[in-house]
Amino acid sequence: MPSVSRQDDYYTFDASRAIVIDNGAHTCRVGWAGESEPRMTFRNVLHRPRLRPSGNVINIVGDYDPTLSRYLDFTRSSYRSAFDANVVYQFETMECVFDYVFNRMGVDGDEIEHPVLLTECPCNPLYSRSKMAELLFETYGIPSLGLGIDGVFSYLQNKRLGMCGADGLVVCSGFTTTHSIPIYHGEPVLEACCRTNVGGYHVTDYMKRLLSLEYPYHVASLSWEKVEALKIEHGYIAEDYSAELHLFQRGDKLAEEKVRIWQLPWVPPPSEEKPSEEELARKAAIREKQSQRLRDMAAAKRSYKIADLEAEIQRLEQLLDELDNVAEAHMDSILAGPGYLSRREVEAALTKATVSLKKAKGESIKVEKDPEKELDSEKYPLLDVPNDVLTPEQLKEKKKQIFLKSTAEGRVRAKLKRQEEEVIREQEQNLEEDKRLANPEQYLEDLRTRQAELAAKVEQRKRQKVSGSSSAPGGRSSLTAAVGGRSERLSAQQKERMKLLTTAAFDRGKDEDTFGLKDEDWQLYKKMGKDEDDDEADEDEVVLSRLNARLQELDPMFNPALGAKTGMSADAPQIRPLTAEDFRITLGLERFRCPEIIFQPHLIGIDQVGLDEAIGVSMRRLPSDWAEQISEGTVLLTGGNTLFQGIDKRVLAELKKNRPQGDRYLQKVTTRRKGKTGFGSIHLRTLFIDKLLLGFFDRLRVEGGSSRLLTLRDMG
Amino acid sequence: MKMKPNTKHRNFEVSPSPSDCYMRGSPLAGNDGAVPSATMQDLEEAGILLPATLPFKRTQLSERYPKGQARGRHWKHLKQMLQAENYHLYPAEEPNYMNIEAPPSMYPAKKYCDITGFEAPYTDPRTKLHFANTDVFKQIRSLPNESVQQYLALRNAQVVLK
Repeated sequence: MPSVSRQDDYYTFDASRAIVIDNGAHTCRVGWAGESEPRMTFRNVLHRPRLRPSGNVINIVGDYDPTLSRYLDFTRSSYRSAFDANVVYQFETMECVFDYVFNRMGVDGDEIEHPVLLTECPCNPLYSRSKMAELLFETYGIPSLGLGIDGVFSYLQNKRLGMCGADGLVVCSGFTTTHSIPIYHGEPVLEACCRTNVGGYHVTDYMKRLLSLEYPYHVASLSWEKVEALKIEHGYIAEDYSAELHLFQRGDKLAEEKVRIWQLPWVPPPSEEKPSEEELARKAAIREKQSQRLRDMAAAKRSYKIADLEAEIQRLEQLLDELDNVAEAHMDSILAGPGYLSRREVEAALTKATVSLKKAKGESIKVEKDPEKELDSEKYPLLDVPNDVLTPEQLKEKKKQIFLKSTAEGRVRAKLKRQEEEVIREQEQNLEEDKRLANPEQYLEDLRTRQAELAAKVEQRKRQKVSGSSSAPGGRSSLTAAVGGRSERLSAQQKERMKLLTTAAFDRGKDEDTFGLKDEDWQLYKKMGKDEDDDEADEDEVVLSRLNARLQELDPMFNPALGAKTGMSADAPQIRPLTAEDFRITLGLERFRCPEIIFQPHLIGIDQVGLDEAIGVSMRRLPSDWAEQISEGTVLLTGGNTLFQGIDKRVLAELKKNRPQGDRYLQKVTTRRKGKTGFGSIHLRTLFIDKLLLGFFDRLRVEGGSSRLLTLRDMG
Repeated sequence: MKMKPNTKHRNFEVSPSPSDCYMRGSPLAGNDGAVPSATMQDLEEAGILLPATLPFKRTQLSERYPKGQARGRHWKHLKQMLQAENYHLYPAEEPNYMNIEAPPSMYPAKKYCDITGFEAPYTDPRTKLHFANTDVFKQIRSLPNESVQQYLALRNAQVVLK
């Protein structure tokens, strides 16, 4: 938004016309006395961004245009407010604001010739007030200054307009606080004023935190400014809070109408089009070509391999022939050439080569067991020879051969077992398939029940581990106490183990720990038994996952997440694709729950009366005769935080509830839109205040002291 | 004194229009090619920046808070101000900032559910959250501890370790 340009008509106002500055914690409004609308309204904050090129820091008052971030760097600046609660404490910021104000009002000359009327909070601490006066007098050199309470000015303005009488009560709900001030004969009764520390800031903050908790994925969109806008647009105050809550709880149609939905910007992912016929055909052709190429390569490799093997076989056969033809003595030399130690080896190599060749060519292989048997006696020559005949070296040899033989046999056995298992599994699978084909419904049902049971069992075990095993017998309690907090995670098995270990260690006596010196001690571990519990759990989980997979293939409606609710709830939303619904923020209850804190501050933990009760408290603090007169007057609601719809009805209802029967009490409640906080009345007042103040503040400067009470009453 | 023509004054409402400014994507750091580097003059003319020296001020900002020095960090906060006021030395009937504070409420506080916002007849003994019915209770029991503390912090009942 554009910032305010300088006003042109500064010179048209004569020197007695006051500049009115409504210095609120949220917005600051500035205007001339006597006019009905303020000239400038801006947020009472200061930004200090950096200039992009030079890196200097500049001050910007009020809201800024986001497009300015081309020139300015806003990343490290956060806005500063001169206020702490409703009291000004940071006068450097205040000075920047005043600079802006006076500059924009058109002040051009050497000094400001107009008096200034400034608003402050009720019972402003002296320190703040004197600092403010010092700032304005010393730095700006204004001729005179008037201070007053904004709510009271508003009341007086309304009195002039005829909306309120001379006696009444003003409730001013601002950014950080809410005040209830009775007015008697046109003067505020500050002794009876009541302040609750709940304001617009708290409402917005509550709404922001609430929405962030409900929609943790959208925290980034819930900025302070956005939530404030939401509050202003959609917040309302329920006339009867409990009734509204029940409306929503029942799911009434009225409640549905009251719900507002905010759709965040969301782009659906581009849907994949089904590939057309030609696409499919083209892809299929490409795949065919690739597979053909692979097949050709494989065939080529195979042919090379075959050729190699054939050559090898030929060589070996040649060697054998040579061996046959030649005499014994030369055998070793011939064998030593290619590196074989005996004729047996050559023949073995030959058979191996022929077998590989046959495999490569794709022919069936006859399992030849007999050569192996023969090889036994040859490979392990020492096996049959009795021990006492052999030398120690040969004994070692024999041991090695025994070992080799047993491993070879073991390998064969394992292979056989595997083959058997495979056969069995195939049979089972065939059975399953038949069952499925025979009766698909029944099969699915069975699967589902099995899965459900297993899932429940696994769940229970998990829960046991987490929340302590409830099945621990009483006798173990001493042990669990000794172990401390970890005991709840140990199962019965583990407890048994611990007990054994500790008793074993304890038996030895305290002086020396001699456990483990004797072999029998280690037998302890055999007694304990393995930790079967975990193995069982793992097995079950494996079976469970297999069942899940099977069910997911077969059953389109199956959802494994249903089985385990806890802990999967965070993951479940990610499984299905995101829809537009995920990007919607629903404001149902929050619309009237957040502004409710004005009436019930304990909703956010502030232990004070709400707005309605504050009125009662003020009335109680009044002297009784005044109270009677005021109770026939009007309650005026001012301040930005009272702009919620329905607040006047609510206040009236609450007052009717809380005051004693028959009290002709505060019949009328009017609200005032913000902005018109009594600028008109200032015109009249300044004529009086001026002269007084001139004298008053001159005295201030000379004496250096300051009076404590600067109420409107004193100024007359 | 210059006589300026009496041009009609305009009321400028510089209030935020949220629909415009914040629904748009934030234009931060998105350098679009040729960014004109704005000088101080440009910004002044655009009405954003104030001139460095203002004629009506007796001492300028730059003199009072020279750059580089700690910029007046010694401002007293409200609490310190109130302490220094010594209200106990003055008669108690005279209103001051502390006097006019509101008392706690006479009526017992109604309990509302922390998760849904409805009326809450029940409280979870483990987490101390109020809840309205059993579905909400199931939700509460599955919350991580962080969320529990955040819900409690909404009504200022979170655990604070000093």
